[in-house]
Amino acid sequence: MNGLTMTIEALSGLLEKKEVSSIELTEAFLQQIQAKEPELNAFITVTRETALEAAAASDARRGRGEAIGRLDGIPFSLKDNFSVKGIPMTCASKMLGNYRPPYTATAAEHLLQAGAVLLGKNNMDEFAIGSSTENSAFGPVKNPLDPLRVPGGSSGGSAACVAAGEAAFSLGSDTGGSVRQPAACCGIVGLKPTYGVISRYGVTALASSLDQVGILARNIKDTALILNQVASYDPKDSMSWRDAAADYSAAIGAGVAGKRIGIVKEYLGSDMDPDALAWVRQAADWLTAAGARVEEVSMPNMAHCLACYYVLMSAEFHANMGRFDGLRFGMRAEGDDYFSMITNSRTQGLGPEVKTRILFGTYVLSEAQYEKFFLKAMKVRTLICRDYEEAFKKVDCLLTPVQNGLPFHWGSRQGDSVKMAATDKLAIPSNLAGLPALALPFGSAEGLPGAVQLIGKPFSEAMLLGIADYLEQEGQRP
Amino acid sequence: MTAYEIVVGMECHVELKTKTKLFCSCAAEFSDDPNRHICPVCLGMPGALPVVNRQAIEYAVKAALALHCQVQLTSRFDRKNYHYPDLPAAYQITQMFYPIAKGGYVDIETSKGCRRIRLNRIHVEADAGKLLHGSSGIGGAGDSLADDNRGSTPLIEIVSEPDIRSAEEARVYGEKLRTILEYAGVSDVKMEQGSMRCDANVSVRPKGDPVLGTRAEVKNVNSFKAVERAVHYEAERQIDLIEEGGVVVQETRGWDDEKGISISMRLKENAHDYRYFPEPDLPPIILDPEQIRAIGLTLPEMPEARKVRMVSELKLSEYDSEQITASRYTADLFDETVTLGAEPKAVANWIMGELMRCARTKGVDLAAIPVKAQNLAALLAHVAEGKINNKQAKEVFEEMFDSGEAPEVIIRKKGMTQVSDAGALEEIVQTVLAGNPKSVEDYKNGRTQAMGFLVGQVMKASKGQANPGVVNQLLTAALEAMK
Amino acid sequence: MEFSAKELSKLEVLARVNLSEKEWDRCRAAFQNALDMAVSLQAVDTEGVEPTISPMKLVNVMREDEIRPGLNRDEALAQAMETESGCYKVPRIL
Repeated sequence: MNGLTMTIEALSGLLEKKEVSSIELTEAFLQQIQAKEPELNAFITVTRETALEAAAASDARRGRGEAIGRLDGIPFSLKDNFSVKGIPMTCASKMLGNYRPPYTATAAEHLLQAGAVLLGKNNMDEFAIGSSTENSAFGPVKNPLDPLRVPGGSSGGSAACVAAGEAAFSLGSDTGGSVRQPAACCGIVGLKPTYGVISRYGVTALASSLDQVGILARNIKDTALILNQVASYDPKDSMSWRDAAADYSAAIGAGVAGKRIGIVKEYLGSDMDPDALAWVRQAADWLTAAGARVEEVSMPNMAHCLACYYVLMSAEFHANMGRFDGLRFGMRAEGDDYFSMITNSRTQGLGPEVKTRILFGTYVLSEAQYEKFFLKAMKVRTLICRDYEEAFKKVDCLLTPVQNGLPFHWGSRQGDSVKMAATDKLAIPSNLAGLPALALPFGSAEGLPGAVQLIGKPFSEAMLLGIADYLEQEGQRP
Repeated sequence: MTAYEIVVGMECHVELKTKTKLFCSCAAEFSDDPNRHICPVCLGMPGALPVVNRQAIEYAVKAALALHCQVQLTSRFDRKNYHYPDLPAAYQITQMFYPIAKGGYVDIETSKGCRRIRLNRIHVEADAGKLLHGSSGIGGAGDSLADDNRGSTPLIEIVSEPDIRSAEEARVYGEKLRTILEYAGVSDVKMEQGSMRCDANVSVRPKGDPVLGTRAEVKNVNSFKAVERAVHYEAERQIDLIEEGGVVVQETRGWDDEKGISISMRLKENAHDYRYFPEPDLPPIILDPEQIRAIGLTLPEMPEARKVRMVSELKLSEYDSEQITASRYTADLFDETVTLGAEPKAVANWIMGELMRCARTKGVDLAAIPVKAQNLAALLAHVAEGKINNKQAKEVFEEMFDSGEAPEVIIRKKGMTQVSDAGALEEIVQTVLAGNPKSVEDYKNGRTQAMGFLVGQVMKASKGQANPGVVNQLLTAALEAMK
Repeated sequence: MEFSAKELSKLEVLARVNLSEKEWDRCRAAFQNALDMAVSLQAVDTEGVEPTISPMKLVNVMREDEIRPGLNRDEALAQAMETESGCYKVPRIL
């Protein structure tokens, strides 16, 4: 059934006209999962029973004329770091092997309330540490477009499953590109909204000041539709934005005439992949042709982003990971006394990448190093934010690559977490500044889809979606 | 032998009496039943996030104002990272870099006179859970049990400068702090129940030496008397150690009140490094001066000011006013009763006498006493008007103390009336005189103490209902006539 | 800036997690690279620059002091591997 790669818009149209039921749809996706999973490994948990129950409930609502909205009856998946009451959450770690959250993440709750049907939980890099989904206790995820290349990460399972037609859309988390970069690898749309637009409550924290829930979907309209559902003020997340609930589809179809688009000068150097640059230039040309004004902006502090990010992320991650000690939830190892027990549990339950990151975070926060590393990184972060503020005085949004070329090959960066993080060099800055950023399939190379990224001012998601929709429409013109 | 000076700084943790915890909406009340007030946030579950309790911040500001601190316009929370079984997230949310208040002071009065103890800061933080230890306790062979009911309840930590110079001062400082916070109405401040916990940083140095000695932190001190004993013990221990040529090590020591000793709690690996950093999940708290002023207006008149007023306006003695203002309950009861027209000295006597006696013997907490000002005023009025005598009044008061009932109700129930009618008493007086010729003879021979005995006999014969004043008059007249 | 094995074991005690020799061999280079990168930040002029803690410029986000239902005890304890008498069981604390 090629309906599996249809957009939400199309699927909900079929449901509305009763040409297909949610149960049929859900069963079709479950069949696709069954067929594809042996090869892809995009799911850790498939919730077949509850999915069919939810689909039946959706059909019943529709039968009574009480369908909730466009997402009612649409099958979706969640990265396995989202809490859903009673459904296992592993974060792709041995540490959480038998954990079933007793509560549900706010973002997931919004989708369930809208009648969307949860198919299961997606594979990922362990505790979201990684950019290739090679670091999972449940084995790596394959890229459905090219088995020799990684699907990106850490939300690699989410991206691969949407690309392979195993779900209509998925939610992931993006701390340093973890939604946008796998979306780009798998040829789908990835959106990381402004920090504070989607509640983080119930999503396992990696680095609290950088984490944001993101959307992986087939096209821009679907992305806006999902964002309308999950963006909302949440009193349970103190960093939640009061006016987060808005109509994010508002600028779709509004055109790009008069929009000022910035190209970052520092991203045009010889170290950049020619394909990645070509995609950006082509997108710039299309926008110019449609009446937008494209200009170069300079952002000198982008060079420090990776170092700044690595220090802050490791430090926050180390603190967030302290809770996994075997006492109240998760895996518990033997130990003669309390400290041996927790040390053994953590040592046995966590993978080497995670442990190394925890130790590095411990180092940069230790009393003797705090000022030199952590405080310094927080100050550099301010400079990075200022670069954006300056740029946005001149332009409405920035057009950049998502990553430096096509997805890398299996194993080529494994074991070197810095090289791995460097994959996200172009995605990281918008996390540091908390800005909305969107990865859009654009152009191609070696028969694989390319991608470009749009980065906007805080809360300019609607505008970014408008511009992206224009590029998407242009790309589909024969 | 060298003369030593004791230097003490106190760190007092005080539980704020909010309804809910500091970072989640679980009840903050004490419960014997473990793990009944818990949620993903206070259990540190993955994905759970903290949200600050507004009331806790207001109480902290109120406490700071009562202690003359500079409330900070900007304060923030930080994470303090360490692993312990009573700390589910493995970090405590506290205020390291930008506390809610700085400075301040507590004036204390000891046998050596008045002194001002400066405060360093007050910060807001989440409490840890409770560990119930097996029979063998910490370091023993047994398992422990973790109960998170108390986990994440709001605390303020009040840190003093090392201005305290004796064990007595340490105790009085603690008592004064308790009184002030009780007045401010921000905490139950009960040492015994752990809603106030004091740690003492104790060091000694040769008198006159400007350099501070190495300090030991004494924890687990559960009463103000224990504070005094623990500081005394620790100072002596350090002096002995130095005198024997030893060196004081910086460490944490636990106070064992039963044995009267402190024990080193140093862990094997003494590598404390809390890796503080700003809590990224909580935005800063920015107070505006007007808001701080408004919170200040909700403070009642504090003990110092009340004492001055009681002495100058109500003519109480220094001693009486000190006693009355030692707790907000007695001070409020006094003021309200006087406002209702009772005579100040009489009210003070009743509070310091009967009320304190009942509280002591019955083991009732002052805040839990049901005696209301209007009832105490009414009782005093009955006595003043001669409707009941003092002895009866004490009986009535005890009932009031137990039940909170109005004195009229109790008097009626007990069928108490005071007989002041001379005609009615004359008969009893004559009977008593006739029955006690020896005492009459004694009186005639100038032993006036015999009068007391005779009054007692008349009171007894009247079943305590006679007005002792009238009895006295009647007896005097009758005895004089017999001379 | 070289990172020593002695320093690593200090971190392991603080973080309560150990790396096996094999794991350390695998991650040593990454750790050293990360450290070099962190050191490179020293060259950035941050004189007079305020630190950024969070990208979200909010203040005074607080909730009212109202009790709301939390978790049922059995539900919470079901996640733990060892419990006793309604509590989480903790091995002896040294």
